[in-house]
Amino acid sequence: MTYLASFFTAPAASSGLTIRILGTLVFTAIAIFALSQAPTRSRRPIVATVTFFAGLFYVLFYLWPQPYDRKPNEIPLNSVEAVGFWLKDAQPVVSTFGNIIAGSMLGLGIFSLLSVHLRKFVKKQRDWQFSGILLLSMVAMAVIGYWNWIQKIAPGSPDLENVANWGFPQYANDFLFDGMLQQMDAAMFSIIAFYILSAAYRAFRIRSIEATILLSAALIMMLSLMGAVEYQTSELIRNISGNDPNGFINNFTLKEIATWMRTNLQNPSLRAVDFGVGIGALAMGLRLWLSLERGGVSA
Amino acid sequence: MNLLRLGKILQGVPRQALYTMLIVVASVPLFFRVEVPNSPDQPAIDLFVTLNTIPAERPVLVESDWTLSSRGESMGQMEALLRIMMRRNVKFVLYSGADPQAPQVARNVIRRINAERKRAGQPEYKKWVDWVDAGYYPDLAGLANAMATDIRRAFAGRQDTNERGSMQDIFRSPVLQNVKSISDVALLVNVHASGTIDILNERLYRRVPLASMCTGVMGPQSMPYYASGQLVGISVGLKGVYDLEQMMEYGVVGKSIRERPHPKTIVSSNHDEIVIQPFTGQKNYDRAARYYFSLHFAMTLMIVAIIAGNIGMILTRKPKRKGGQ
Repeated sequence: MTYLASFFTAPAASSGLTIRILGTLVFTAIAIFALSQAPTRSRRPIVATVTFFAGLFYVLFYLWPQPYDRKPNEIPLNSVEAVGFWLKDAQPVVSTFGNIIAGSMLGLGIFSLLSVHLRKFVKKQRDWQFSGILLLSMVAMAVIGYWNWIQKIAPGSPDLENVANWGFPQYANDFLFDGMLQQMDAAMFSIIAFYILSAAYRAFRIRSIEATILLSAALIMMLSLMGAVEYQTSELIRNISGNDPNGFINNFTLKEIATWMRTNLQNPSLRAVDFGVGIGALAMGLRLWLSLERGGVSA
Repeated sequence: MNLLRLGKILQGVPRQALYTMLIVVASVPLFFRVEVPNSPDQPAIDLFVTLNTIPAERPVLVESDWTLSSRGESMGQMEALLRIMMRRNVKFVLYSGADPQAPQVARNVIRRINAERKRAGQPEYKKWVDWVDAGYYPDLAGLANAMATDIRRAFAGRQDTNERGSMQDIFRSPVLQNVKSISDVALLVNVHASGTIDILNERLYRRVPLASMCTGVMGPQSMPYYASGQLVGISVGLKGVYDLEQMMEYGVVGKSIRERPHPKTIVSSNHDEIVIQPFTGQKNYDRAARYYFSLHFAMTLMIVAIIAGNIGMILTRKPKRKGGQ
């Protein structure tokens, strides 16, 4: 495993790392091209085999006996322990593979975005102006972002966490990222508040027993989120009980009722949902791992 | 005006009027910073006590999984977390596992809190010396598994700018140089707006104490982990941030302690002997103090709108005919 790890790793900023990255890119491009050219019938077994072995690692990782209190340079006692050692040593490497594959999905996304919007823009299809703005924004963000990043990692560069050391790339990056992208993100999300209010006003009606129970529960939870209301009701109850900390009526403060609902109604319900989701995910995971799912490969 | 007409009016408030009212009630209170009477929730008290009692010589892992889409809650959580850690000189590692934008958003908050410290005449929290940036990991599940197995290999190859301005492995920094395994980390705090705490709990529970600072939407999903003891503390939504700011202002004592640092000091029912002094004279009330006041008005508007709609429905309801005809 040490050999495997050293084959796949190299010191940062070394030529070995550059060669490995370029080699991996070329190998991946050839593999994807070969897979896309392969007949549909032969594609399925290839994908199924790769999926099975990729999944097998984590199945074994979780189910195989794990080495306990392992010392450095410890030699395994038997073959079972040897596999356990290997799985534990291999896991960080596999995790890095996972990160790289997940990261490369970003490249796939960029490719897909470019192919759709470049075509739309060049052929002046409907709403081509929006595609143009999207492409321009993407290029501007990428160029400014890389410019800023290269300056940041350059040897002997000033501390760019300090705004006093900022130049054009840093200000431009801050304007594009924090000043525009993030603010638009926040604005988009804040629109939900309007829909929630409008939907609550129009749909939250006590038309049945169930709706009344739901509305009452929602009202208690909403009021419990308002600290001032919660505090005042607690004070009121405390005064009624004559400041007796053991008074039975203390169980009926808004805080106590809301906590009781969270602990005794909400948490068990969510646990039940989680169990259901977990079992469903396990079943789905098995189907994907064993390639019993029909879609996605032959297309 | 007869009741039927009133009922129709109450049910037929135009959408534009509702939106305008929401804009007014949500934005006007933002101009006022008001200390709303409040009683902090126990999960937030537990989080605050944990943050104030972890050993300062061991680093904290801060997994920042939020962007400005949840700034109303998550930004306040992040700011409160940073203020507490920086005041206690707790070193931390920043990384993200949910969104590629998240690390930069968190860096911006750190920069702003540092500027605040500088204005207050406090030493800046220096990158590399006091905190390091481990960046973004697209496969959080794999990273969490690797952290459980070997934290040095999980973060292997990650570099950050050292004091001399050159890139160096983060394990050479004063923050991580003594960390050999995940058990050397004092706490992992997840500031999140999605279900990342599930992934962390499944893989890291019992290996490192876990804490959650989540949005109100994620609160119900994260709360069962606190109830089962899998989280040492949790701060949920804007109320959670306000709870933290209030505790920073007045401190926390255990239930056996009679002498309190301040008349408004919060009493923790889960602790006996602890005394956590308030951060007197420092900026404690900030974002949540402004937003929480506004939230009260927005919630009131929603409750009033729901009640009005229901009254309208009752008033316009046709009386049932006798005999079911």
